[in-house]
Amino acid sequence: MTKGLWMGILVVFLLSQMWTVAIAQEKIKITWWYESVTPEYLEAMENNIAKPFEALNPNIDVEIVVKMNLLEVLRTAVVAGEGPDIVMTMGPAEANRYAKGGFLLPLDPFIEEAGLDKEFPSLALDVGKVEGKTYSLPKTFESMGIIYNKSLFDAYGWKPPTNRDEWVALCEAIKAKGILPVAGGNVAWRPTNEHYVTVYINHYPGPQVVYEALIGQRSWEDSLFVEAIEMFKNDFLTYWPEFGTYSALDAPDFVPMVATRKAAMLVVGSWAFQWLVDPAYWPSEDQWGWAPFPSLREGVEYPFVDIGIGTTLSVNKNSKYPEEAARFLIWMLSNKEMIAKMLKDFPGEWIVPVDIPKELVPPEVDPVFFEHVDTQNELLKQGAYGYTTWTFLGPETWQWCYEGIEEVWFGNISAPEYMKKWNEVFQKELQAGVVPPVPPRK
Amino acid sequence: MLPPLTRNMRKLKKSKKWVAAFPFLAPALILNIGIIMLPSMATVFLAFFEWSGLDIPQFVGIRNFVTVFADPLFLKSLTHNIVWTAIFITVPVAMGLAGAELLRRTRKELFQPIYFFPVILPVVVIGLIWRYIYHPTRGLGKVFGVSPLGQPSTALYAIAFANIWAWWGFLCAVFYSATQSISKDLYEAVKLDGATGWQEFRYITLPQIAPTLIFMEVMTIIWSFQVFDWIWVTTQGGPAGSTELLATLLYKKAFYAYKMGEASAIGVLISLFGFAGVGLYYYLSQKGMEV
Amino acid sequence: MNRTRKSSSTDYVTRFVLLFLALYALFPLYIAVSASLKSRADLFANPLGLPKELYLSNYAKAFETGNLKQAFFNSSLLAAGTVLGILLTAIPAAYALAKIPLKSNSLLVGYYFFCTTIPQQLFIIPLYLTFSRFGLTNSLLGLILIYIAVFSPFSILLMRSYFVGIPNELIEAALIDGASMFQAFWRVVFPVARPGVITTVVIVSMWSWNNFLLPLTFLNQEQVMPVTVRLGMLMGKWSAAWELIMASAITGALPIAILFALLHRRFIEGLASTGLKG
Repeated sequence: MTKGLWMGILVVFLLSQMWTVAIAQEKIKITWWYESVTPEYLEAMENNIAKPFEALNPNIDVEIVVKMNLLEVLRTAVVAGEGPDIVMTMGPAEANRYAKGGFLLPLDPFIEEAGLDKEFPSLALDVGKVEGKTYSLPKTFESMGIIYNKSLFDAYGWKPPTNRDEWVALCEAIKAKGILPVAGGNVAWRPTNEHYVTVYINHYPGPQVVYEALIGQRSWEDSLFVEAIEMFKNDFLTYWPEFGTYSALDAPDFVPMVATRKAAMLVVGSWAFQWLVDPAYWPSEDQWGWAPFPSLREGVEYPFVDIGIGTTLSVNKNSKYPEEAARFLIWMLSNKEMIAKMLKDFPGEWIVPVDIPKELVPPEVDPVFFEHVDTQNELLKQGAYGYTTWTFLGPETWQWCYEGIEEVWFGNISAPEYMKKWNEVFQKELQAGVVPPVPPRK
Repeated sequence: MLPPLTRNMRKLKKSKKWVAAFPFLAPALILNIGIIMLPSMATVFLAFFEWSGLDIPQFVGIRNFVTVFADPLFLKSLTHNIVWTAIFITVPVAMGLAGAELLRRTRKELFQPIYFFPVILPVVVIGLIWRYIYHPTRGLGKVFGVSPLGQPSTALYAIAFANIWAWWGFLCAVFYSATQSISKDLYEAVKLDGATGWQEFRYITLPQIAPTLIFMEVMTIIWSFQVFDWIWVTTQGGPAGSTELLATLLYKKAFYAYKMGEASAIGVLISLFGFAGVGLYYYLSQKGMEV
Repeated sequence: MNRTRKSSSTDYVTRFVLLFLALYALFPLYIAVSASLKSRADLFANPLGLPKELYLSNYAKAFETGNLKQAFFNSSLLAAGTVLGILLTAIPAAYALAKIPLKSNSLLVGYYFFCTTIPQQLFIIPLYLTFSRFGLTNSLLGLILIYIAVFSPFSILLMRSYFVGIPNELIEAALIDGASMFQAFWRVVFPVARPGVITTVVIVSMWSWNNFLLPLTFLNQEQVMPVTVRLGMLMGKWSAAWELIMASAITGALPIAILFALLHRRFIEGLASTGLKG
């Protein structure tokens, strides 16, 4: 029976190797699951956030774990009463769901203690409120705009457009040079379509009109929205890559197109800055520039930016150390020195909506990026902001927004039909209470 | 259908046979029921509830099934699954049969592992390779100016083509090994009668490996309704929903739309289609017995 | 004369078809391997051709910065544990279904058949909720239990049809000699069934090495992640560097390729004797 013996030894060995259930820890451990990032960014978070906090609190360990498919994995784990101490979501809609399900800890006492309610714009706190309590805080406050090849623009004397006529004239001028006006692609992230829907649906009717629709006072079937979609369809078919290419391109493909002057612009959000600083994405000596998206109709204000919340942070109710987790969360959203460092080390994914004194900003921060953050904060303060579809719509309207638009491009459905379904789904979700709360406009 | 009884075993009493069989059957069955059957039944149960995945489930009867069937995207996905099944029960099977028959005739066994090789690679890996090949500005696209995964009219077929590449070698190996147990005398006999190669295949090989063929066809039907990985690593159901299949729709309903009940209903339907495949198999093999 | 000429011309056609199928099987692999050996500039300029210069350093870089070592170890443990589990549970079950005649057998075979029709997404969430109660999430052991349960229906069906083909006299002789049913299985049937077992082992290790959705859901810590999940993470990280992606993809598939290269002859043998007739 030597075979049996070998088998036995193998079984014992395997079992001893597999039993990886964590052994009880003496130190307080706070875990935080992060979405897929490169090791460099992870290191930046560890050096700028985890380690300084651990130095201040020697009895606490902060563990940042990179998770693929964070959305799915996190939800399954949190519902099972497990998951990390810090719950990170892709926006207030998701965070508010967790809050309604009773999976999150209210953060109000901690926010007040740290004076964060005075520091953050009210919009940032309001969208994370459920039944009057705040459950989530934005880590990334982002906005849509235009990123363009500045060297190319300078070479031809082009200027960022501020209104519809200038936009069309610019795109035509670019096209006349044999250059693609707008680069983009959605193969790795199908919802990319909504970035463009967002700008057209805001910058044609104007943000006030969108606000009225979001609070249910105006139908989404309004002719202003329908015209916006019709205009977008035409522009997309004329100025964006041909659909077969568009739907097979990924950021590593379309960003270099702008860098190498095959295309002139990106219509994109703040996250794009992490690409620009990476030579794999921007393989040229050309300079880049940023500008708000033009207004698309006479009488619509300029400039304003479409605000979105890319990431929110909350505390898991089932956390073993809720208090410590909450303090950690507040600390990292209020420590300006750290936030300024993250502007340098993780551009575009760490835009906390607080004023950062200029002297704290490391000199290596990309000036264009800082200008973007600064402008965004300034416009937000003035109330000159619009609404991104991924932050302010319910999940089903959101899905229709980016899936349905492809049917419009193909002519399978018309713009009125697209907005009709949008409206139906939205009203249903508004009734069901799954649309994030919209703070009143100034 | 039962295997031939051994004389000794036949003499045993039923209870004794149970005692003898129990330790053999129990571990696998307990694991299987605990890990697959019970959780699946829980999901079937869930198909009659409305649940966002984060709130308290509400009983809604068969409403989820009604909603699912009224959803044009569901019907579109179902159509895609049927197209997919139709492709997979014919094209790779024909290739596998052709490969197996030619290998049998020439005995060029060297080709065998070559054909099989793509089968063993992880989908994550080959999905990437094919994404690269189909890439509009890097792979084939750069050379031929095409974007097979980017066009709604071709995307599903482009993925199917890649998947066939990774799959037909398995069928070829299975069919080839099935031909190995056919008596050589049969072929000799028809050869003497002056049969052509095609006739050899048609009248000897095909009927002899029919049980294997039917079995693989049924497994193909079952697996065709479960396809997920291939779509997810290449197109995620796009462009314009042209590669949406039931399994990807289920995933989106569950995690993007917060509709666990509808997702479960789709899961139940996928199982039912597979179950129909098994039924078909039993029907065909019964029929085969009679002949 | 006529006859030989004719058969030799069909022979050419046959060879051509075989060769064509082989090229079809190898072409994408050629693309991948050649891409993994190019510099980034070379790859972009010349996506389909041979590399100008061999950049073997892509592999070193992929392996080092991709941190694949731990992932390899985890995948190997997963595959070994799963194979062992299948040997200890599914194969005895297949034996009993083939050789101990009970009325319930056809019911059980039907049950296992039915199990193959269940998509993974159907049971993942309830299973996760259960597993987390027992501390089996984030554990390779927990995942191995799932793999065993998921792969056992097919293994049982495969091995059952294999065992059916083994003559009863063998078992009877052992039983007459006073062996227990288990001894008869372990000492007599198991050795005879080796080709079939090898086939099952190859398929099961292939499936457990390649699975993606299950480890993605059930393992949440980097130190227990297998190769496939690790590769998925690298895709996001290197999305612009196809030469590194290809190098890591090939590295990730290598162990299973070697296993197949070593065992393919016996694998085909085993497949032949099971006949896969259900």
